[in-house]
Amino acid sequence: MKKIFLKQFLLLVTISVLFTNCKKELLTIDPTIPLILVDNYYKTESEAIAAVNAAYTPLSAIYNGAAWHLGDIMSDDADIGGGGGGDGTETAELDNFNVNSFNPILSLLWAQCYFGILRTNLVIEKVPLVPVMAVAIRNRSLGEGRFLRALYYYHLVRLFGDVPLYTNVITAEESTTIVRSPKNKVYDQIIADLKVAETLLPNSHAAADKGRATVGAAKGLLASVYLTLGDKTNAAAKAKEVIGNRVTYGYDLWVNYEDNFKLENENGKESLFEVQYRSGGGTFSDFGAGSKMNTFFGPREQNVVPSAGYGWNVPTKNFADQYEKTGAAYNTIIDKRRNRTIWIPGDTYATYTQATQLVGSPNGFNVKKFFIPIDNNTGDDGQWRSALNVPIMRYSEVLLIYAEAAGPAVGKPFADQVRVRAGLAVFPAGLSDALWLAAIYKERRLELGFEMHRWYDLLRHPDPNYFKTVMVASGKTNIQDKHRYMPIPQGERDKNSNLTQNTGY
Amino acid sequence: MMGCLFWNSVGAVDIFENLFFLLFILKRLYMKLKLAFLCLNFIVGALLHQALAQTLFTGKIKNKTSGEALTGASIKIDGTTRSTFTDNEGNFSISSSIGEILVITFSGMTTINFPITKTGFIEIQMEESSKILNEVVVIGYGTKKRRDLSTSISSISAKEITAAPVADAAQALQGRVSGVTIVQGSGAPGGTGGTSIKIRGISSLTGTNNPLIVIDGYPLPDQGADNVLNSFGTGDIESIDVLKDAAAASIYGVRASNGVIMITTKRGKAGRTSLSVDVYRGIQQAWSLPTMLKPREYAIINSEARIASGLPVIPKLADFEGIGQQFGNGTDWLDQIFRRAAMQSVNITASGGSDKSQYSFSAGYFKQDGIIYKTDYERYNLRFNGDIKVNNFIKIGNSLSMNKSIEHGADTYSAFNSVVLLALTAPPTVKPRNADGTYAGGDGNADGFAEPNPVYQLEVPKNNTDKYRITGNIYTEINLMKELKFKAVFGGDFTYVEGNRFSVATPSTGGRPIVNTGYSENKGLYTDFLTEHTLTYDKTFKEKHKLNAVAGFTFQENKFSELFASRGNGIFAQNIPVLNDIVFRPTNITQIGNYSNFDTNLRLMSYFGRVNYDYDGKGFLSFSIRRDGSSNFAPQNKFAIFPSVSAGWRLSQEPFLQNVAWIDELKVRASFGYTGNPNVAANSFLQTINQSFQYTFGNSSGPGGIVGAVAPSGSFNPDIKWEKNEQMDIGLDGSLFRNKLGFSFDVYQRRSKELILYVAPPNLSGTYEPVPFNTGTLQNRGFDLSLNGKILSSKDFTWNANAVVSAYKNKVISLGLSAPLNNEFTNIRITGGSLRTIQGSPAAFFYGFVTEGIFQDYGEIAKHATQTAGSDPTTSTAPGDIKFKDINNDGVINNEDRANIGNANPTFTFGLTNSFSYKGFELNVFIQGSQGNRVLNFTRWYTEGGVSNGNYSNNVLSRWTAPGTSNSMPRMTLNDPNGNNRVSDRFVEDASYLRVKNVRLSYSLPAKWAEQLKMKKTQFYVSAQNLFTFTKYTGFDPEVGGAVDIGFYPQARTFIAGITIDL
Repeated sequence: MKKIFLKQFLLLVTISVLFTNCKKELLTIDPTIPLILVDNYYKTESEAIAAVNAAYTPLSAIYNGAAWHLGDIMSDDADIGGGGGGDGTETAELDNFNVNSFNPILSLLWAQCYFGILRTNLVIEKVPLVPVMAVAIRNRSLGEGRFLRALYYYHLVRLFGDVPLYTNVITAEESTTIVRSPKNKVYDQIIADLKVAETLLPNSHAAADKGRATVGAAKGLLASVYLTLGDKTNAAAKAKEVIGNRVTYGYDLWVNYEDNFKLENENGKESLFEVQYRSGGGTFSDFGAGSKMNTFFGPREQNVVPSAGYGWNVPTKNFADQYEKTGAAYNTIIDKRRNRTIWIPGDTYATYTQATQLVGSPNGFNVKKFFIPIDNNTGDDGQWRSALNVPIMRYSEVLLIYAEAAGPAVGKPFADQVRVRAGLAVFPAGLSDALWLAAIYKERRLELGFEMHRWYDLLRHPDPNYFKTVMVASGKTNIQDKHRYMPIPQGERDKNSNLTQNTGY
Repeated sequence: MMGCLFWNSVGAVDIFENLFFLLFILKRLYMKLKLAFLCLNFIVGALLHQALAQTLFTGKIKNKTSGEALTGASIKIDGTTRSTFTDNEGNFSISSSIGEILVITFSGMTTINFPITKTGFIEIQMEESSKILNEVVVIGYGTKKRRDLSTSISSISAKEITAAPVADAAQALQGRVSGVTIVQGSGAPGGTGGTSIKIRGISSLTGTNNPLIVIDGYPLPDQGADNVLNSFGTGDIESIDVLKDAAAASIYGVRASNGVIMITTKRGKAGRTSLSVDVYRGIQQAWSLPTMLKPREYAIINSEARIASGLPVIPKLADFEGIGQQFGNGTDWLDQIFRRAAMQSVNITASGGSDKSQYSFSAGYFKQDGIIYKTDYERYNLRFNGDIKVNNFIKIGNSLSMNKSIEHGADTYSAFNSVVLLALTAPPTVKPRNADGTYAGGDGNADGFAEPNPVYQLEVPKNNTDKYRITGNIYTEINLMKELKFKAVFGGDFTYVEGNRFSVATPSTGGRPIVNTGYSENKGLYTDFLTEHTLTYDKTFKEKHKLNAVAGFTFQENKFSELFASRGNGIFAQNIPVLNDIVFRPTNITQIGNYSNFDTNLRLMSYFGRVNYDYDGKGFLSFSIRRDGSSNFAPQNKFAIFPSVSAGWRLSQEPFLQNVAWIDELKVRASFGYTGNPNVAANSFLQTINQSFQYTFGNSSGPGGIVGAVAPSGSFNPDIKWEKNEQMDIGLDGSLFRNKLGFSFDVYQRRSKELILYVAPPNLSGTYEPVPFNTGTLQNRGFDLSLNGKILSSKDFTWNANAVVSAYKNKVISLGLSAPLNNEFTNIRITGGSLRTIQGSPAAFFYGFVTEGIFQDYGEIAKHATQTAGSDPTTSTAPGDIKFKDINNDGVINNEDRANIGNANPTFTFGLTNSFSYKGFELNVFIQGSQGNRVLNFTRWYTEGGVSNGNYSNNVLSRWTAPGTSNSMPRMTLNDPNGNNRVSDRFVEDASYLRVKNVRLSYSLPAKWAEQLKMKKTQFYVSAQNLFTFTKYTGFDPEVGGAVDIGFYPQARTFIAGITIDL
């Protein structure tokens, strides 16, 4: 019997060993391919740079998928165009001011701006903690983060008014309860960010980094923000900082207006900041690496651009009529900018001649600014993949900001630089403030035509009813006060019941 | 009637051929088996104990009802270790003395205590015990008598499993077990299409709804899609027990939300040596194929549709009468791809042993040709189960199965290239082959049709899968004390799958995606390890208080890795027979794809315990608890506890019922418990970062300048944990009228709480990927009923019947944070509909438009909400188009007018088995069905819509042609301007059915003859599977997996003839 007990004792010992052998740690498995988590990223300089790069990415989608619908088509510069009928109802809603809170273009802009904001917040939070990093790169990265955050909020606040404002990394939970902040708080943050950015960003970048934000870009954007807020003093001062340092920063006007829109001149001397596009990459998408604007703006079905051309964003007669001309016909326009900005009937490219009327374009007008011909496969390898960058701010705009903010007396020579390059006479001296504002508004419209600024210029005019007056005059009688701000996307309100809607929607 | 047709078409020749084959096999086997039997007997004999010579008592043990001798009955002298077993003739001899008591036990019979009063030969008759109450049920880490159960468990036996000629045991459960809904979604040979098993409905909206399958105590890893149990030979299975309520299943904790299926394979029995051979052979055929248009009708309809769409008539089809003369009945494409197919199975089992060691070997071969040309399945399986008593307190044993299967498949599941769909749509005026034997096909110009030739699609592409699986475990059982037993189990389950596919280019017509010519290979290895330790304590206190307790620990690791490589390279293209160089030319021969994938890597560590208390065989109380830990969850959420409690009370043992003569047994049961569902991917609690963004810097005028860009695109939920199920069950079991009627009835409510649903964050979070949250509640309420009756029972004739009925109602109580779920139909060619889940309705109903008849004239169109505006009938709504209901009354028919148009949940499912036996004959008729389930029949989208100028079904002959001609079948058009073919209730059909699933007639040779042949039993049988199906459903088969029918592989009607020999 004793033997048996001994055996049983040994067995029990064995069993208890078997039981205790399995430890809780066994329930943690290291994946074969290491997981890259938010918590263990942002540890090296190259990771920091990759994080900054991601903060730029939303720009390509915003300009492909929303900026021209809002900046151009919604304004008096352009109509929807395209194939008519049910083609692009979401764009037609904007064009006709019967937009509602389900509009996908508004959702796209909203989403992409906030994607950018979270990423810049991460950069601003994580980059200072990277243990080993060159000072120049660290400063540059933090400056880029501030600059881009300001840019995204600037898009949001101009379009939606009060918007949720956050400068830290928020959780999914928090995003379902956050409320809208008043516009002025958002502008305060934009100004604060740009003021930090201008102290951190470099004057220029090496060739491989061209396209990143610079001190000039920050100052120029800040001037634009001040002007939007009606703060002429600060707007003039900031614009002057850019103009005064133009040699240091490397800014100047191209001799020819069209040089701005050549592939070889991308990120050139007149460029403060632009959206970087390239060919290759994803096809038929707003979210690819290329610009879809070449195919979308090209004359419809004329095969002068890849994918036949869709003929969207068609310039209005009102816009074309702004150009100075010597006769009644459009081919007597003397403004040198016209030829690069819009197609008019009779314009040719190789064997192609623009007709007097096209589907969606009753007057035979189309946007030419971002034109890459169908035979340039490097510039556009088709399927919505044009490599041509889109300017966000050019030096000529800085000159016009300064001219507007500084007033006719001081500003005239700066605006004249822009006019002279366009082959036009200088402004007459001694214009009243009101006439000066009107003259600058018209100059901006032509100089920056189809660079997606017009709608925001209409909104920021000192006369709060200006945008309505102009739109009614151009036949958009649907316009109402409420259209100063677009509706907050309903999909977002469904997930966050604290998001109030703008009046009238 | 269908049966008669079958005999006419198949002819008696086949049957004779099968019988000859069987006799041939029998003769050959007989000699070999006799030899094998002698060898085995020798081994077994050596192992048997030789009783010491005292006074030798001899006797014979018989079945009281049938009179047949019982082999292997155990005879033990009470209070001693002396024991023996009856031999093949039921005889035994044992040394004993007068006054001692023989305890005679035999499975399925009431145990007899026989006091020895005299010397000499004794004949003892044993009575069959009430089957339903005395059968032993496998309950997870133990067994129990059904009589003592306080939880809800259903069982089926080997006989029922092998009654049907199926490769997958899951299919054999259909209609046999209450509370279990089986849908065989595909008739692909070998059950490779998967079989859906749902125990008491679904429990999860995003995770698995498959039950846990435990084979010989080994919990198999989740297989993801539908269950494929076809690795295991059906002939090896002794019984299947289904743990249905939470109290029964919760001992399996986090994996038990969908119930547990316990499969027990055959083991050797002491003293019962047997060698058994089962061979069958059969033929299969499709039982219902739609009737398609003949060439003349096709030309008329096609031309009418083209004219209505403003298209010119195809010149080849312009002369209707000429077409009729030229093509006659044309090509019957369904006949081209369907065939009569053979199937066969051989299973050999040897088992036996002494009271010290028992073994069971089996070897099986199964081969099934598919009823679709070029498809087949072949399986080899081996099993060895053994048990050895090492000494008085240690027992060791094992289960081991080794299987190999070879499958040659075809695409019968995709919306574009399923050969079934291609055969439905190919015009009858197109031939499969040219005069020179090369493949013909639709010519886009001459036929207006250029979809792939289905015969070519079956003969040229390759789709082969080889699968190897070894599943086994070894155990040791140690009696530490008289009452305390320790058991350790170590096991593994390894599956290796090797697939190779050769695809041929198919063109991009009718919106189909281009398929490139190419070859791919994948190799997948699934490994699973288990270690398990249990302590079992059994003790009876003061005779009336019986206690049984189990405590255990288990650890299981599951891994899956796959390597995949493919290329669409020219080296393959050289040997590709191409149908038409223009159409089928490979479009991209440079594509190379390679990946390796470590999909799952899961570990589970669990502790469990159960206490059963039995008061005097009257009252039962059981409490179980399991604590499961999973590697998938955050450290604070790794472990969860799943308790359950159940109680039963045998009312029939109480004085107030003991005098009621017609009640033999009556027991009430109640249970409540928790189970879980771990349905979330590993590490979902962490926030990962997305490295796939891109931006560009530098002066790039072309494609250069790309820089990496990295950011999170999803938020995360650090608290994500298991789905939790609570289930309540009340049951009543009984046996009435001297055990003539047995029943078991359960009502239950299961609530799945804290469902894992993926909630899309607001974009202002800066992210867009949906985040898993534990939110939402789903409910199933239902009842299960099973009845079994001994209707007639005389010496020669018996009639037994068995019925099961199951019903449940599914309801989404809440979706919590989640928006309504829309599962878009991914594998069909039309868009707009979905399987939608909203609060307050059953999960996953069909979401689409409601039809209101056909517009008879323009007046009706004008009065109705706008569908497709305009006055040109080629581009807008016109008379003859379907009128859709304006659900939101806004005067426009658009996506907002979609509604719940039915769901796939049956009102109830049922099964009815009748078995009759007369002398050696036995007839089993098994009827099975489903009532109230609906199917979205998309085959009609193909056969009533004229896809790519293709053929139509006969139904379109009743189309609308002029006012008053039809109010259900719209006018024929090709471009469908009104959207007649959109997802609507037009395609939702009642798929209720009643099926004579299996009829089996067997004849066993009389015992006298068998004895002469030195056989215990010889049985011949014929059986028919899917003999008749009564349904209103118009597709191939009312049994549709996933509720959306796109013309899957239909089930066959099968006739087999076979023989079973027991030596």
